Amino acid sequence: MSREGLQAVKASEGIDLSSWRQHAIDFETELGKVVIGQQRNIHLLTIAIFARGHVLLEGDVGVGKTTLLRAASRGLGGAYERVEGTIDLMPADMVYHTYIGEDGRPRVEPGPVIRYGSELTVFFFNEINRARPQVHSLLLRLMAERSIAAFNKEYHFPYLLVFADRNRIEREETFELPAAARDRFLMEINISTPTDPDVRRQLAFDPRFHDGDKLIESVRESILDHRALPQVAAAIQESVTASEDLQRYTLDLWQAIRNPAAAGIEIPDVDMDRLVSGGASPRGMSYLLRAARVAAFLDNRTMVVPEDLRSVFFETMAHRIFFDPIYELRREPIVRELVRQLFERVPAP
Amino acid sequence: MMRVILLGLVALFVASAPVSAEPSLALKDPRSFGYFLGDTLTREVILRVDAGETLEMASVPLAGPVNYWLELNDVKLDTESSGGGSTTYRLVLNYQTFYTPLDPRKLTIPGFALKVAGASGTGEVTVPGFEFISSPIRQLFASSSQSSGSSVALQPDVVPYPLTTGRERTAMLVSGLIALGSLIALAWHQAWWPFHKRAARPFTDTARYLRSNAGKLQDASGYRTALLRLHRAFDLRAGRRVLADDVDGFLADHPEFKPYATEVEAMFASSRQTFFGNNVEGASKQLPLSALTDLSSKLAVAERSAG
Repeated sequence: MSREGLQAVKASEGIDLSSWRQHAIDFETELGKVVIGQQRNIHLLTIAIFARGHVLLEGDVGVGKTTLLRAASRGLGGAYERVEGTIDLMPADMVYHTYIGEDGRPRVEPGPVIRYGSELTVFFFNEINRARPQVHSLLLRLMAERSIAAFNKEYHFPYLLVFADRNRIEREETFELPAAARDRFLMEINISTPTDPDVRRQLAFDPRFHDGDKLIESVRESILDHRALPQVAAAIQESVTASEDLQRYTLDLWQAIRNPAAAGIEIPDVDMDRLVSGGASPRGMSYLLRAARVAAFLDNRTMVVPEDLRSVFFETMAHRIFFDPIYELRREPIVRELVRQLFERVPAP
Repeated sequence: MMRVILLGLVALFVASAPVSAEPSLALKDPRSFGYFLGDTLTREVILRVDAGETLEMASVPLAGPVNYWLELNDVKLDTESSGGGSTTYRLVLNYQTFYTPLDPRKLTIPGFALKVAGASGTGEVTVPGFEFISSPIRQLFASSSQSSGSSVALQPDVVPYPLTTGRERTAMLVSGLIALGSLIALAWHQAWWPFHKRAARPFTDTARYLRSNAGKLQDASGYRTALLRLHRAFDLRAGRRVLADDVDGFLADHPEFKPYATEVEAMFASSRQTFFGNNVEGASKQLPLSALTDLSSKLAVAERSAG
């Protein structure tokens, strides 16, 4: 456990979890006013925030990925930095800000990542797949250890959450995220256009949704205290229990995802014996339990039940399962079917 | 010498003199010419016997082949009594000739003897043979102009007319369908292929298990087993794993269980306490084993009534 984690556990005593649950519900309601028709995704994002996990959003262009993340950043409070992924963005551009001063001499100042020091709460990486692999590898450390080395010293970001988004439409001049980087995101949330005709009508005709900046400003600021979040998160993990039966169930799920044929999962036109080539890492499983505990906490329970695992499984695990290359191109439908059948086949409890 | 011969003749005459009158025989024969292969001839023999005499039936010819070219198709015998105690027998014999003569030829239907039994013994009445002329039906050597295609040439066989089997065919179809239906019903009943995967009756099984193992399930692990059995029954019924959150959907899909919604929900709640809350005692107090057994019985009845 990292230094911050230990501190968080020590400080977690005496935290009023029920009031924090109310805060979480307020946070969800507030976001729901701004981003309509995405209740489930907002709930998932809240789970990720309370599980201290980084989130990658993906989806079509213009479905509200950026709006959702900006609104969440505002609700969280704390320092907020945003970087646009471009093909010529280099790691140094994120850490340092270089320019020619008024006196004509080159200057190097802290860049977006370290500008606010340890106060940085949300680092928002827009269009992450447009950045180069060098940038992705910088993110690896930032996400996994919440620290970075610059100006010959270590910077720590105890409150940091990395939000990233990417669109799935364009493939040119983009770099697929390496598996190691994807594994460090707690969740990959797929945002799609709302299907409810009433929501669609509002989005198209209500002038409130036409001006993004004004819309974001309508979100109440700092609903959640970002400084207390690490302790709250640790307290949640402490207070919500996973029984032996649930542990066995989780291990069964893990086993079944690694060996779907043995679990009786059958997908048409897919050779189940060679479908899954790897993934579902131990880190992934621990993330799954972290998210499930938060889901149970938000549902006002002190025990994890299979429904919690099911509610977060796709978003926390789907991007960690690696298929045989011939199935990778059809990834989306296959992985959905795989997860659906997983919960239909593995007996619970 | 001449006298001796005369006396002998007289003595012979006296010895063979009939005891009673001779039976009278009359024949009605058909024409004696103009017959061809396959023609039939009917002879009628009328025998009249006196009172006290009878025709011995064994001497009446039997239907059947007489010789290699003649067949006795049919024998009919009528008996009628006439005045004075005498009896008249009317014997109708129907012959058919199969002789193929190369030129007009005289053929003979052989005669036979009829025996008449009387008080003084058995006498014989001989029915004489009948001669008739049978003719060929065509020239021995057909001329070239008459050979093929002419009416004299060998004609093709008559096409046999089809027997009317409509009723039999309908009966066969109906009985075949009945047999097939019975086979399918039997296969369904016995869960043979293709019904080997038919939905079993999971709640019925579970109810039976819980009732017959009530003694063994009294402790905490027994309570867990009972809950697990019920969970597996729900899973089987739904064809997927049913979690507590899925109960509403399950009841919507299987409306026959709707009347027991509250009990089912209570069961899932106590299952949560048992398996995920580590609180078997609390759960079994809230919903004791007997309540689980009751619930499974009710669900089993609902399951069967739904067919």
